[in-house]
Amino acid sequence: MIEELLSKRLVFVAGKGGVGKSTIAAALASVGAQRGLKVLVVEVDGKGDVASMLGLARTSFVPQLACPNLWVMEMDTEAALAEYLRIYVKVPFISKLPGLGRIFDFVSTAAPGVREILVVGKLCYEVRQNTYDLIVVDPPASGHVISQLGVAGDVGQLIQLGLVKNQTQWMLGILADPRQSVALLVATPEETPIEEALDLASRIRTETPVHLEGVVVNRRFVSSFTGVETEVVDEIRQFGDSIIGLNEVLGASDLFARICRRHERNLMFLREQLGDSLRIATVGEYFGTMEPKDLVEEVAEVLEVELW
Amino acid sequence: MKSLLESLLARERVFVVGSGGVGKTTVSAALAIKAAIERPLSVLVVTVDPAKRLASTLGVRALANAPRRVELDGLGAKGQLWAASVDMKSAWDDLVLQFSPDEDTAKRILSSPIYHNLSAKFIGSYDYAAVQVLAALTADDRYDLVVVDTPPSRNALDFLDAPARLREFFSSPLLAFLTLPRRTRFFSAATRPFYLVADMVLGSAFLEDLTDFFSDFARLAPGLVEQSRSFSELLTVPATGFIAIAAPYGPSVDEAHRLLQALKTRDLNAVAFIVNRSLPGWLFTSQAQGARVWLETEAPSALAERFARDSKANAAVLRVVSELVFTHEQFGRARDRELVDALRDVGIDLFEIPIAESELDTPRTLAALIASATRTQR
Repeated sequence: MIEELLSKRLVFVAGKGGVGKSTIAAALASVGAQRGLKVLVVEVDGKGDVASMLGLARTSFVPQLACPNLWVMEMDTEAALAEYLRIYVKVPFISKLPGLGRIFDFVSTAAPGVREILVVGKLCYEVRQNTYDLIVVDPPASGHVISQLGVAGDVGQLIQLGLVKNQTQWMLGILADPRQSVALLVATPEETPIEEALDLASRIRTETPVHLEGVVVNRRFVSSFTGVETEVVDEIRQFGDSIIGLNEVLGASDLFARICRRHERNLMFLREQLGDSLRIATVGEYFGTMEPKDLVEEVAEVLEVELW
Repeated sequence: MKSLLESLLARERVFVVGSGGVGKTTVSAALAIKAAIERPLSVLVVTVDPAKRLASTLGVRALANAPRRVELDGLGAKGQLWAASVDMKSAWDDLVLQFSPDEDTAKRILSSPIYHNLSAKFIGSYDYAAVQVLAALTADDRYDLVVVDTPPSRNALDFLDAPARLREFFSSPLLAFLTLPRRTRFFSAATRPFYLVADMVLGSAFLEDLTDFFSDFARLAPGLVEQSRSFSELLTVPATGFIAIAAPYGPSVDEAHRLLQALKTRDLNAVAFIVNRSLPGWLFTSQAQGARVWLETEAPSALAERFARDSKANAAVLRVVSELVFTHEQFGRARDRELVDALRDVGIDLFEIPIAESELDTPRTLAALIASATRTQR
C-alpha cells in the first residue's frame, strides 16, 4: 500500500541517470503532499530537475514552497557545513571565517566521506527536527548514492573520536531503521538498465544500512492486444495492399508490440533475480509528449495505484 | 557521404560521451565490434563499470584492467577485438605500487584505512583511476583503434578534468599544510581557528591519520602528475575524437548539446552526434494519416461481415481500431519531438540508430545495430 511507503520519514529514490528518477521523486512527493503530508524534496546533485518539474524557477538551500504542503531544497555542502558549525560547535562567527569554503573544499576532497556525511547529516537532522512528515531525496546517479547511504557506517569506522563520531551513531539509528528510512530503486525495462538496477540493488543491500523497499520500473511499454483482438489485427492486415499507408500504421503497432514483449521479458528477469521479497511497480512510457508538470501529475496518479 | 563507421575509423581513439541511460555502453561495444569485423585492425573497447550482461555479450566472463581477447566467431572478422574495463580498486593498487618511491611507502599506503576508503568508495577517486588506466591503454600502440565508454555526462566533464584536478591537488598549498608537522600547524595564526574546529568536529586521531596518510600519498605525485599530463595532451590531438550520444528526446539531448559545447571550449574534436533508439522514419508518411482516417471511419463496417453477428468481436474491432490509431499517433508525436530536438544545429554529422526490436546480446546483433544507423539530413 502506498500508505505504508508514505509513513516513512526518509525515502531515497536511487537509480542510474536517465531512468526518470527525478520524475518519480517529484510524483511520489506530490502524492504525499496531496494527502496532506508536509513533504520536503531534497535535490542532492543540484540539477534542479525536480524543482522545475514542480514549477519552481530556482532552488536554494532554504526550502522553497512549490505547491501546498510541498517544499523543495537543493543540497549545498558548504551551506550544510556552516549550518552544522552553527548548531553543533556553537561558534556562530566560525562559519564566517574567510577562506573557510576553500579549506572545506580541500578537506572534503581529501578526507574521505566528509562531503557525504554532511549531506546525510543534514537529511537526518531534518528528520529529527520533525518539520516535515516525509523527506524524498533525489540523489546523484547510482554509484554515488552508495557512498552517501553507506557513509555513516564508513566514517564511523574511520573516525574514532570527535563530534562526528557521536553523530554517526544517531544517524545510523535513523538510516538503518526500515520504519523510518527506505530506498526506492528506479529503472527502465531495457537490458542494460535492468542489469545496472540489479547491481545497485545488491550494493544497497550489502554496502548500506538502508532497507531497499522496492523497484519502480519506469517507461514501460504495455501491450494492448490479446485473444480475439490479435485476430482482428490479422484481418485488418488483409487490407494492407489496398489501403495506402495502412502498413505504416500496422508497422508502428508491430514495433510497439515487439518492444512490449522485450520489456515483459526483462521485467520477468528482474523479478526472478530480485526474489519475492521485493516489490515492483511499473509506470508507462509517455513518449515525451507531455509537459513536465502534467507528467508529474499523471505519474503521481499511476503511483497511487501501482505502489503497493 | 561518410558512414558512422567511417567517422569512427578516421580516429585512433574515440571517447563516447552522453548522459546515463542513453545506451552509451552498448553503442561503444557495438562500434568496436563493427570496426573489428569490417577492417583488419586491432580494436580495443574500454568500458567503465559495465553491466554484467555486456561482458557476457562480448563472450568474456569478466572484464579487467588488462584487455582480454573477444572472439568474433562466424562473423568473418577481418580484425581483432579486445575489451577491458576500469576496476578502480586494482587500478589504484597498481598506481601505488608503480609510483611509490620505495616499498615501505607503498606498504603503508596500501594498509591505511583511509586509503581503503578513498580508493574503493569515494567520489572522484574513480575518475583518477580511470584516467590512469586509460592513459596506459590509449597510449598502447598494439591497438589501432580504442573506443572508450565514459562515465555519465555530469561526470564526463569531471572525468576530463581529473588530470588537471590531480595536478592542482598535489601542488596545493593546503596539501603542504596538511602534511606539516602538527605543532607547526597548530601554532600558525592563519590556520589555528580552522584546526581547532576540525579537531573538535573530526577528532584529533582522525586528523593525525589523515596527516600521516597524505604525507605518504604526496610522494606518489611526480609519477601520477606526469602520467595525467600526457593523458591531457592526448585528449586534444587530432587523432582523438569524441562521439556524443543521446536518447531521441528530452533532457539527454540538452545534456548532449551542453557536452558538445563544452568539448568545443576545450578544443576537443567532436566527430559525430548519435541519436540512439530513434523511431524508424518510414512509419510516418502522409499516407499513414489517410489510413488512420480509414481505420476509424470505414474499417469497422469493412470488417463487420467477417465478424458477422459476433458482438464480442465487434467490440474488439472498435478497441483495436482506436488502439492502432492511438499508437501511431503517439509514435508520430514522439517522432516530431525527436526531430525538433535532434535537428538543432550541432555542426557535426548526425546519425540515428533506430530502436532495437530484439535483444542486443550477441556480437552479431550489436554489429547489426551499427549497420542500421542512418545519417540524418538537415
